[in-house]
Order: sequence, then structure tokens, then C-alpha cells
Amino acid sequence: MKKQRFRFKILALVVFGLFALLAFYGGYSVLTYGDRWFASSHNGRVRQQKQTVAAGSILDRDGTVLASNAADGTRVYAENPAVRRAMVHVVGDRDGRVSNSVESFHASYLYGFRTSLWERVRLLLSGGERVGDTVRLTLSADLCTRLTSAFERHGVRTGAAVVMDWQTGEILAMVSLPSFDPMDAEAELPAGARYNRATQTLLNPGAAFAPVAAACGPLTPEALQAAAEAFGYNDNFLFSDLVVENSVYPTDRDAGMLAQRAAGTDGVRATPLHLCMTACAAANGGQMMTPRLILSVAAPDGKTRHTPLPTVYRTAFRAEQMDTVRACFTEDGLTGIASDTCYLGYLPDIGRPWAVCVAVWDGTDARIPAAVAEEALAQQNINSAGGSRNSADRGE
Amino acid sequence: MKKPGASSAERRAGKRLSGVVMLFYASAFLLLALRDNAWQGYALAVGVPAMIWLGTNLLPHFFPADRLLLTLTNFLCALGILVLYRTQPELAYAQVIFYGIGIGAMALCTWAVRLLPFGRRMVTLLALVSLFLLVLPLVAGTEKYGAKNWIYIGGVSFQPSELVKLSLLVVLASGLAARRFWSWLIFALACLGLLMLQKDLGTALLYYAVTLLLAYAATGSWTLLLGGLGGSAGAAWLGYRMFSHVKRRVAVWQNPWADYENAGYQMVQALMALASGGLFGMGLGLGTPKAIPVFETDFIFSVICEQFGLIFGLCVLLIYVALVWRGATVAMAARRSFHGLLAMGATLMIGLQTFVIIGGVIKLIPLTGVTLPFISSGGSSMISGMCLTGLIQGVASRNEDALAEDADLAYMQGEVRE
Repeated sequence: MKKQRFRFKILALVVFGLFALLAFYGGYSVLTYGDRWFASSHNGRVRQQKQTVAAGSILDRDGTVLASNAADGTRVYAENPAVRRAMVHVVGDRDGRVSNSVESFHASYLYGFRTSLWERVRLLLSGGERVGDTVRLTLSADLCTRLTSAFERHGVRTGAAVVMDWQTGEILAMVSLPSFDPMDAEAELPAGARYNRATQTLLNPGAAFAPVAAACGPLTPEALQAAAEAFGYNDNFLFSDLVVENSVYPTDRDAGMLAQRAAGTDGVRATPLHLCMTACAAANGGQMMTPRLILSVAAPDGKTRHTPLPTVYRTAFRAEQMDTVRACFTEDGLTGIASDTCYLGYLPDIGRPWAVCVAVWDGTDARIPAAVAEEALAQQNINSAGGSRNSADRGE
Repeated sequence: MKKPGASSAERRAGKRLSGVVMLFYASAFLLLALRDNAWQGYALAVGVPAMIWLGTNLLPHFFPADRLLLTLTNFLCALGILVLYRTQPELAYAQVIFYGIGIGAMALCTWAVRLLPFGRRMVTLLALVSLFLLVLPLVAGTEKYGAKNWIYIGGVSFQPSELVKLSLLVVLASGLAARRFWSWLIFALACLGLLMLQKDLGTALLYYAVTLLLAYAATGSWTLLLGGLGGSAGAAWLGYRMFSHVKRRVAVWQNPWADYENAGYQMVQALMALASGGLFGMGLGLGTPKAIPVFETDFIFSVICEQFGLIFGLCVLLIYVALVWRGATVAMAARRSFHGLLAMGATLMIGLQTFVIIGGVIKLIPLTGVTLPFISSGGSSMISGMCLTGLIQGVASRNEDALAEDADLAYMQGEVRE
């Protein structure tokens, strides 16, 4: 009996262990993936909440209203049609045609799911209308509109561009073409207009993969794979502010394909946003910042509910490799790498710490991405504290 | 671990705990009653706490019983009724009846363990009746969610495998305690074979795991345990190859979003319910728990988390942990090997069943169609769960008797010496 009792103890401990596993996994998965599950367009709870809660507004970094509720409760978007078209893939639309937009991915803020119990009780007692939180984005509507205009001037119909602050990871601009006007529900959408190509479409980076190849040292299949993974390839991107398609680097370590892979082809695929993060890492001495889309979230009473802080996503390469990696970028104002489909660059100026990626899918002229980047950014100055003014406004 | 005693301090603590539990349910049902303005809600606000009081205090009047175990069990049963009332009131009314029957069944099982000898003939008869019950669904059963494990008699449906759990434990405990190797093995294998034929793989998994672990507890044979684990891995592979619905469930487990419209629908809905609840829940009465298919049985844990939040869900897990701890304590305090194995078997059955279903719901393991003990809707599940508690209570009660006898003996010996 004594031995049997000891074995009972072991079995009880095994069951406790299984329960601990349940608790750990349950907590981990809800805290890690919960926002994504919640934001799914299939989640009927958001639709239900829309019946009783007036959605909060979405603002750009300067306070320009990108989405708000009209007096009759319908959702309306920015007054300027050009801004609406430039930002629809990030902001979203009332019909949910764009997936993983702020309207859906941050519905927990916009539709008051984060409202505390105390606030709810207070509203219940006062009889006030429930209103969601106001979300202020890191994006500049002005810069986004400039990028879209630059694309259109060059006749690009399918493209994407991302501008990031390489010091903080703030996404200053993110546009995707083809686009549409979210206020025009009747219009027939061009093919692919629902996708945010900046975060959802993978492309062969080509020459834009050069910083990774430069960071790998002696070129072997293992070293190149390790370098790519250090830059975030094959990682499961779980950024809290936005959904990004995972970048891919082939894991078969095929030595025969090494040259192609070092040149960013043969199964090497990344989104424009991830490529922009690569440029950020090059500019920031190897520190790749977590991309941020939310500048702050304010409760209906104006109090700040959430202010995300810059965090390092990963260290892509060692400090002593910085010169080698930066040597991949040319020295022409915006230092950049042009490939058939995309242009990658950054401004080394601490006062304007920007990195940019412009990708074009239907271009015949390889110079177009670089030209778009140059035109859109040349006259622009973004105040990293939140204000945005171009040089003309400042009288420079 | 401390032996289950019934000191006055423990009794007072037990009464305070059941008082808190009763208050919780009275306020929860009252909230729903006020929302719906339905008299049934008010009736439940009074009736459910009354049943908890009855379930916690009635049994100890007749037998020495473990009050904490009773309080925990009653908390879980009442939680099931509350969640069902929130989602589908008709199911809650039926569950109240099953709960009442369950309390009676628990008392009956406690009585059986206290008084019945469980001799060889009785155990053999029990085994034969159980096998007959398991054959019934194959002959005259109906299929539900891919498994043919239900039978309908006179308008009443039940799942024989839920009741056979009890006899499995009795046969295993009896055979293992008496070192009759073949008797329990043949019975366990026959049960497993019949369950496989019914395609009730979740229950088969439970039977197998409990048999293996009890055999290890009785024999201490690592060869048996490791061989059994290896066998189960092989059986899992075989099940995957043989049954299309197993393949489908594994695919859904890997990525439910890939087939959202069809096979992945319920898993995705369950995950969204978990996420929508967040840490503190959407609030009792809010949310859309009915969007989850089979929310009343397999996915009731998702509903709990949606309504009350993940932290409350973890507290429910802790209650099961306390239940397992209490059951193991009772098993360790048993004087006879048979009783120890019986209590440990019942404890393992409850613990593993809870792990299998919650693990499936949170996507830790592939989903198998078993119920969440005490909480899920359904008479078979409720009664079998209460009977398992009754078995543990019976052993706890015998332990108390033995302790009392020891005390009497010590007292008498003291008198003789004087």
C-alpha cells in the first residue's frame, strides 16, 4: 500500500502538470493571438456591438479625421477623396471589404470592448450613449496622399509603399494600389483592390535582399539562412498593431540555389513592409524596431487609454557588420537599392530618420520605384513628436 | 497531504465556502432574471442555491463525507446550469432535474462503496451488464457527430459509455487489487474494442488512459506504462489512418481557419469566443455564445470564458485541480488497495476528461467529443460525473470509519492498560 500511495502521488502530479499546461497554453494563446482571433471578420460579436456602441474616430498623426461617425450614426471617412483613397487599406471601410484594417483589427478599441467595468457602470447610471475609443495612427495622411499621387503620375496601377521611422518603428505612410473610395459603396472594385499589398503581398526582393546577403559573411547555405532568419524571414509575425504576412526563406539549404537566393530570388519572398524594416535595421545599426501603427488611444472622455512605446523587434546583425550592410545602399540623398520591382532606402539624417520601400508590380521601367520614393519624400518633413508639415508650409 | 478529516473548524470553513457559492449563484441568476424578467430566473435564483445547500449538507447527515469535495462538485454543476440558462433556458431546466438525479446517484454510489462487498461474482455480473450496454448502441444506437454511441429507450436518450465508466473502475480496481491479471485486461480491451466500433474515440481514449495509469499504480510496472504509451501512439496513428473524421479533426486542430466555412467553423467560433471574453469576460448575459456550435456540451468552456473571462476560466481549472487533489488525498488515505484504486480511478477519470475537452477547446490538442464533467449539458454526463464523485465520497467515508475505529481501539487499549 505504501508504494501504491507513492504512485498515486505521482499520478496526481501528472494530472496537475497537465492542468498547468492547459493554463499556460490557454493564457499564452489568448494573450498572443487573441487580438487576431477577435478581429476576424467572422466574429459576430463586433457586428452585435455596432448596434449599441457608436464607433470611435480614427485620426492620423496630425489629428486629421480619417474615419468618424456622422450624426445619423453612419460611418464616414476623410473629407478629401484623395486621402480616403490613399488610406483605405489601412483605415478600412464600413462594409469590411478590406481585411485586417484598423476598422476591424482594432475594433476592440473602436467599439468599446476595452471600456472598463467602472466606465460602463457610470454610463449605465448616467444614461449616456456608449462611444468607442479614438485611435490616433502613426500615419501621415499628407505623406500617404503624396505617395499615391506619385504612383499615379508614373502610371503605376499595382504597387505599394511604406515609409517608417527607423528609430521608433512608427509607420509614417503605407499605401497600396489599386485603391478605391470607401465612401462609394456602389463602385465596382478593380481586381486586387481589397488587399493591402504593403502587408499582404509577398514579392521576390531581388536586390533589396542585398543587406541580408551582406550580413551573412562567408556565403554558405547555412549562413545565408541564418542571416535571413536574423532579419525576420520565416518568423511568425505577431505584431500587436497590424497583421503582416510572414516572409519566407527556403529551408532546404540547397547549395545549388545559393546564388539565386543571395540575389533575393528562388523562393525568397517578403512583403514591402518587411523590406522596409530591413532598411530600418540597416539605418539603425542592426536594431530592427517593431512596426507601429498606433500612436495613442484615447477614451471618450479624452483620457489616454493606451500609448505604445517603441520596442526592438530583433537585432538583425552585429554592430561591426554595419558598414558592410550599409555599403549595399547607394549614396544619392535617399540611399537606396533598386531592383526590378522595388526600391529600398533610408535617410541617414537623424532629424529625418526615415526608411522607405516602394514596390511596383506592373512597371516596365525599373527606375519608377526610386522615382516615386524620391518625389514623395523630397519636400516632406515629419515631426517625430506627432506634427507634420512640409517645407513649403514652413517657408523654407 | 492531510487526511480528509471533518474537524469542526473544517466544517465551519466548508459552510462558509458553500455560503459564498450560494450567494454567487443567487446573484447571477437574479441578474439574468432581471434582464429577461422571467419567473424561471427568479425560481432558479432561489432553487439552485437551495440545491447546492442540499447537495453539500444532506449527505454528511447520513455518512461521514468530504464537504470540500461536495462544495466543489456542486459549484461546477451549478455553473453548468447558469451557463445553460444564459444560452438556452430549456436545457437549464432539464439540467436542474439531472442535477437532482445526480445528487441521488452520488448518494447511491457512496452507499454502494460503503456497504457492498464487490465480490468476484458481483464484479463479473457488472462486467457482463456493462458489455451488454456497450453493445446496445451498435445494434440499436444512433449516430451523433460521427460516433454511434447513443441509444433511445422510451423517449429517453443516454450514452451507455458514460455509465460503463463506473463499472470499468470497479472491475479494474477489483482485478488489480486481487492481482487477477486477465480479468480486468479482457474487460478493458473488450470495452475499448466496442468503443472503437462505435467510433467514440474520445471516450476510448479516456478508458485507455485510466486503465493504463491504474495498472501502473497497482503494479508499479514501468514496462507496462511505457509499452502502453507506445501502444497508444500506434493506436492514434491507426485511428488517424482509419477514420476520416479523425483526419478531419487533426486538420482542423492544425489550422481551423483554413476551412472556416465547414470543418473549422466551430473551432474558429470557439477561439473567437475565448478572445472576445479577454481576461475579464464580456459579462454575464452579453456576447453571442450561441454562435458556437455544440456550445452546450463540448464547447461550454468557451462560453464560460466568453461570459466571465479567461481569469475565471483559469479559476474553474483550479477547481478541477482541487477536486483532483482531494480525490488523490482520499485514495492515498484508503486502507484497502481496492478502495485506493477505485478513488484514484474516479479522480483520474474526472481529471483526464477535463484535460481532454478543455485542451481540445483551446486548441492544445485535437478536439475529441467528450463532455466537461459536471458542467456540460446532458443527463448521462451529469449522472456519471456525480457517480464518480460518489465513488470518491464512498472511499472517503470508509476512511473516516476506519479512523473512527482506530480511535475507538486506541481508547479501549488505553482503558485496558489502566
